[in-house]
Amino acid sequence: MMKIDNKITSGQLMAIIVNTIIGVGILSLPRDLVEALKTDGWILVLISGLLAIGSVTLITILVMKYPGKTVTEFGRNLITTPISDFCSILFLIYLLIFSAFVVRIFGEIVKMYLLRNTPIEFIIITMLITVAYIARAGIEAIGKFCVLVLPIVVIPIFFMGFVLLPELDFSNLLPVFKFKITDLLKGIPSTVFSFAGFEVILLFNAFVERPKKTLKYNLIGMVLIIFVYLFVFLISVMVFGVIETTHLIWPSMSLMEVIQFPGAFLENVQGVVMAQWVVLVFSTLAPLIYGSALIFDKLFRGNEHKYYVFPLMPIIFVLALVPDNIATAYDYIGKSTNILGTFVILVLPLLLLVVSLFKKNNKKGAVKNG
Amino acid sequence: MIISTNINRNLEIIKKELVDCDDIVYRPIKVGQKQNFNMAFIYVDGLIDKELISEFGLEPLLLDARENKPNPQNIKDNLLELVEKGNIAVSEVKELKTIEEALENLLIGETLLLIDGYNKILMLSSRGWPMRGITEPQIETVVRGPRDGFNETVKVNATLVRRRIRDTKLKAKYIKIGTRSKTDVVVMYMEDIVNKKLIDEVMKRLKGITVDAIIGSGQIQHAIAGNSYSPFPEAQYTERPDVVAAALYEGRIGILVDNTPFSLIVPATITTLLQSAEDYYGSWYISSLVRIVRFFAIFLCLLFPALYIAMTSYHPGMLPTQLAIYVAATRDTVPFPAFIEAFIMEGTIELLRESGSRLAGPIGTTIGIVGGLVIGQAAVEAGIVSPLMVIIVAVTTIASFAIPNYGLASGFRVLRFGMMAFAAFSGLYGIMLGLLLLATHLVQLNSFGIPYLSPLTNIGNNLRDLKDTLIRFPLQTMKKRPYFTQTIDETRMPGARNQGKKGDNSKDKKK
Repeated sequence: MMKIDNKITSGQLMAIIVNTIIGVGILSLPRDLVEALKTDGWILVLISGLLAIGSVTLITILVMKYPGKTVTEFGRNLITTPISDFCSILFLIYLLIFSAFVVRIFGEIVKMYLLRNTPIEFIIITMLITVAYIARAGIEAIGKFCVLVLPIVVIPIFFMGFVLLPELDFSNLLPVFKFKITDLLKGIPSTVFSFAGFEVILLFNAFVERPKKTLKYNLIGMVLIIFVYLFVFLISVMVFGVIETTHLIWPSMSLMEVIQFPGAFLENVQGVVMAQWVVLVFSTLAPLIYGSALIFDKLFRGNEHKYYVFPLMPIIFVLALVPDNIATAYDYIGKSTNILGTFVILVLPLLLLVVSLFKKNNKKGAVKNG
Repeated sequence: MIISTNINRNLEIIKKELVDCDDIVYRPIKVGQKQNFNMAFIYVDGLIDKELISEFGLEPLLLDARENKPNPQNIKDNLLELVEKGNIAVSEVKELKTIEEALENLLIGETLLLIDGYNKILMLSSRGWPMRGITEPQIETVVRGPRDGFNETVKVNATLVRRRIRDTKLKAKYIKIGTRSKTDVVVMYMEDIVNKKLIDEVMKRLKGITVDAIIGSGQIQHAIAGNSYSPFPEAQYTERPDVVAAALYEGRIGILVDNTPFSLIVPATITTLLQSAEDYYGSWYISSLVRIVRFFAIFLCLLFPALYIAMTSYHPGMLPTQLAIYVAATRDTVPFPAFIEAFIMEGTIELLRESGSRLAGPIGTTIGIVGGLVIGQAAVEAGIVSPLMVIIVAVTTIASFAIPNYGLASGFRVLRFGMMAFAAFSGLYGIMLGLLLLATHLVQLNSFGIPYLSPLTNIGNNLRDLKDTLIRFPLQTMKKRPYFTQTIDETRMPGARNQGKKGDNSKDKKK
């Protein structure tokens, strides 16, 4: 009856996007911003956010033209099967590398804050198995799950600012507007990629039940993320100051260590924060891994993504363990997103959109001629 | 089997069919001034109202028919009609055309009247068996609210609901389930409120039940569940007619089952299972408070022992220093790891609960006190468990009783052990993985196509259902029926809508 078979609503898609984007990117974001523009990092967030919104609009306009179809399917009509499949494979590789990076950073953080003596391999494997369960369940489950955890992901971040109020030093934000345009331009690529994740719209819009409001919801989601990022940056800088922030690996995590509840039950809130962190990463990984399985499935023109989830796990596991340490992990992901990410976020949608406009004109022309 | 015109043949067939059923009573009689018409009553001893049959069935046929002069013409030809329309003073009389039909009615508690020379059997409605009166519900007691509860007779139960809904749109469909038990099941719904697809789905699933006997509503609940492996109930049970009536007004469906006071309400979501009848009778402040307490109870019931294990074995640093020292000091004498300790105590409590529920009322309470107090005290003194563990186990058990729906509470009660295992496995991280697996299961779960976690799993119109979730808003703010049931008629307070219109009009006038 009202059971929506493999369908999601626009609101659920928005939740998926927000949860996918707010992942490990938020951890190092304040440091990246401070390194690029010092106290003016928030300008970078705004500009990159606007660029990301532009890209989201572009992608949404594109996918709205082909309701019920993923990029792997409609791409074939637009840019011939071999080229489209090649692009899909690139997309797949990108998603796999992204997932591997997320799960690696996740493992490192859990090991650092929660389970010091546990091998990271154990943490990664258990997490991947748990994600596999929901990835197998499909888009409907992921959509509902993301809405369910959206408050758990977003509210504590704002709550954190409230708790940290006594620690805030507003003078840390000064001086304002003292940056070089060249620094701003240099900083943009890496910051835009902290918004990476919205490209899943290319795949998931196919399942939206009534896609009318999709664009509106997607933009609301992006604005929400800009707010979260801005907030985290401002809080980090206000608490730590510019110089200290540059020296921290994960400034956002370090914020948690500053929090102290007077007279509270918990000595430090790390436990609570780690609990939230596990949920956050889970909701990032689920769409990514489901998305990869989906591309795999559509490449073989199948109709059941389930069988491709588990075979992907060893690949992600191995990829996650390739970097020797956190620094190299960041290095690798930086390099791969620069190439693959640009391709998936910008080149592919733009190419498809241009071709689709072209084809549509042709069709119209044909009708007129006929 | 077709009924023959010969009464003796019919009797033979029925007797053969019911051989060795000594509770069947056959009462052959001869009617008429000359006593030349053969008739026979058949009924099940104990299932019928004997007074009714002898006073209004036997008496007119035996005595009145003899005293009154019969109409001389065509008595023999019109005998059936004369008896049916003229003699029997029972409120409901029906002609039956097959033996099978007759037997079925006989076993329900109707009386059969066989008349010689006719290939039809008369059924006299005479159901009347010993039944419990309408008493206060045993499990769902409320401080303020109606005191009548369902009993074991489905007709009475349906009446109790009907009394609360004096609307022609209240429909009650009777169906029989069980190839042997032929249990009466009444499906009640409001025709112009309930979603058509929902009622179709429920009827489809009910008719799809293939089982020989239905003993209680629990069987039906499991038979119509979409996911039979889930630990959570997909239907809400209740023994309160006011709860069923309120649910019908919300566009849900009541399934009343004969022979049990527990009726089912579908669809059920986790929010509806956490609601109690009383929430709507008290002020919204207190209702919201108890709602929050219930949500907290779920948290405690599921996670409290697991958190203890995680905190003591993996993350003692997360506790305040003084508490951590205290816990370490009390656990000093305990020879087991926290996991074993928790399992011992949780196991003991489950044992106590089980034995307590087996015993008769007063003894059960005694066992509870003796077991709980004595064992807890002795275990602590013997140094097998820490006092903190005893407190945790007690709180957990109390919390599990704060969840209004027993089925839901048992689900969490079972999963608690799983969570303890996860916590022993890898501390807080393990608990989170367990919760994520649980959440994944819950988001997949549907009750008749309605998401089990609604309204928490979508962004849109459904958010108005949040008014009746963790906090129960004042009833005046709930002008529409819940969204999750997808009702046809959404407006609960038509008056409120008119007021809004008036407001609009006045604005227009001002303009």
